[in-house]
Amino acid sequence: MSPPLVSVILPVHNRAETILRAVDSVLAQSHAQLELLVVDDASTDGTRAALATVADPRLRVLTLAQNGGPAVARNQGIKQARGEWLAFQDSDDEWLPHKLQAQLAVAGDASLVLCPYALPGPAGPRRIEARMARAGGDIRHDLLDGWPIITPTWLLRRDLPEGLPQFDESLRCLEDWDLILRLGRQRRIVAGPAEVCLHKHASADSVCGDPARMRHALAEILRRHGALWADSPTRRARRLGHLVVLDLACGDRRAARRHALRALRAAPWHPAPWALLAATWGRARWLRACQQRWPLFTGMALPTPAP
Amino acid sequence: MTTTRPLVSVIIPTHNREDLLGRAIRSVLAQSYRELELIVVDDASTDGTREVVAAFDDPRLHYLRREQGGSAAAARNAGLAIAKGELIAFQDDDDIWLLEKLEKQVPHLLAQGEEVGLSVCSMIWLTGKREAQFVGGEAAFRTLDYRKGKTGDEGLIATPGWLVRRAALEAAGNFDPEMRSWDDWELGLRLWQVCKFTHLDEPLVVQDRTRGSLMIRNVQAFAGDMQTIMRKHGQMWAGQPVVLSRHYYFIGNCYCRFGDRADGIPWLRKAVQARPGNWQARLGLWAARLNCYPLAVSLLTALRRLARKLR
Repeated sequence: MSPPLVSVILPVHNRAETILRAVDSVLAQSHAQLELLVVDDASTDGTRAALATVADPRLRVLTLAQNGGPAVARNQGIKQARGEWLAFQDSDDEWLPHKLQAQLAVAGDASLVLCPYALPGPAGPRRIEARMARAGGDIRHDLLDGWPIITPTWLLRRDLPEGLPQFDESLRCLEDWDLILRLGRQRRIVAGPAEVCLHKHASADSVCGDPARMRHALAEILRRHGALWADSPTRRARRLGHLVVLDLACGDRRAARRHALRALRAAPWHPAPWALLAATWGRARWLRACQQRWPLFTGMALPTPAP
Repeated sequence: MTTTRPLVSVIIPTHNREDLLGRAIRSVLAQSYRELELIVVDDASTDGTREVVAAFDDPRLHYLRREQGGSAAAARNAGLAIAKGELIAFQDDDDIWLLEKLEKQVPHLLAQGEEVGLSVCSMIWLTGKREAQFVGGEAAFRTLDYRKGKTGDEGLIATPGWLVRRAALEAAGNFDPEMRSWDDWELGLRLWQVCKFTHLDEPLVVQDRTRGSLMIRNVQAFAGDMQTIMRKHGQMWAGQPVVLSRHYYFIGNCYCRFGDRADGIPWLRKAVQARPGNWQARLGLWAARLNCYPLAVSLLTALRRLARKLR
């Protein structure tokens, strides 16, 4: 049996500095049976010129006329993909050479295979964290916490019974989480190999850095998939807590209070919802202190509220 | 003549690692810094190593077969003998270089001037299933200060992080082929005497520490290596009883752990003589004399584990 073709989709917008590293790390994969679809999301810098220097015939560049965000770009790529499997790369990340091979080896009948990845921790590049779902296969709870959802770890079957997988284009961030929660209802998702397959570089201009965008996406996800948290009250409170922080970062105290009360109702035994509720009357300074005190409670990398 | 993009010779010694070697080679050939030659020194492998190398179609890749196996140090020397580059880097057969390793490390070293001969970069260790750790930072680089001797946390010492000027290597000499595991440290001690070191504090190498690497299998070789080091470089620490005592204790401990009391006790005695306050060595000496060294070790380990848990 010939090795399966993997279509790697790489959306890029103005990343001339790092795009070649991302592309090279895909083309250097030990699983060579791949096509790389770079979707240029209307870049205006030297990204296209940088891509033109790559001679590999497995590379195809699609150019979008106007900037649509990563969800639109990935969907375009998925439509053009010919492979049995889809994988996604980001323009500033680096795959280790064994990534696809290690994932395919453990794929079995799963629809989505993830993998561990290393990234600079919140303390900056000095501390590397390895992030990945818990061992043992059941990663449902990890998905509720919102990680490890990042798309560069994914290896996803293209032909699913419900049709081509598509990201929700109305979400400007967390669209990956939304898709994985939809998939997880019917399809088998596995944590993948035990070895770290991806090195995430610290990047300054993440799409989700804008708290307003993030807030909208998170609220939307909790609305659509809220039932999934039914039997994990602490996890629900965590996500609501995150929403409180984002509400306050956007200056919407009323929404913050409402969400803090909902978090409190979900997990009244936990001190963090109380602290967050108190913070909704307080100053931004206190909130930042809360955030630093209970980073685990909200769990995700939080955008720093504007001073 | 120095160009801004000089040729870098990369040397990989390998022995029976057909399953991992491909990944290591790939991560070198895919470097964004293209001006390199890669020399794979096959140290008498009996598996499909030759085929793994042959599968790569790249004129920069050279395969060197040694029919008689030796140490990794001897294999590195064999690679050095045919290396043409002005700068030399080393890779191990189970490690991964990030794609910009040379791109970042070469200019960093060249910018420092001729007197700086060796650059080491920070690393990421894959320390277990689903675990990774950053090895680097200024503090770690300072423990590389060879005058302090072996302190046990010189993660940066490993050759995959090195980029060294050929001139510095010629002044210091090659690896000592007698060394079975600490050839990097031993050569580092000699390099230390002929040039300055620099540190690029960015993780550029991913080291796989999960597969029971060479180091772990050869614990007994450490005793021999440390003796070689003490013989060649002992005078470096002549006025430093703390370092001397630590090293003597290390040798004695290695022997006694593996039941070789007769060889171990004299070293433990030397450790106590060098520094009477070395309670670890004192305790070890008593335990060895009472013939209960392994028992004492497991007791101490259990106590330590308990203490860590309580903390």
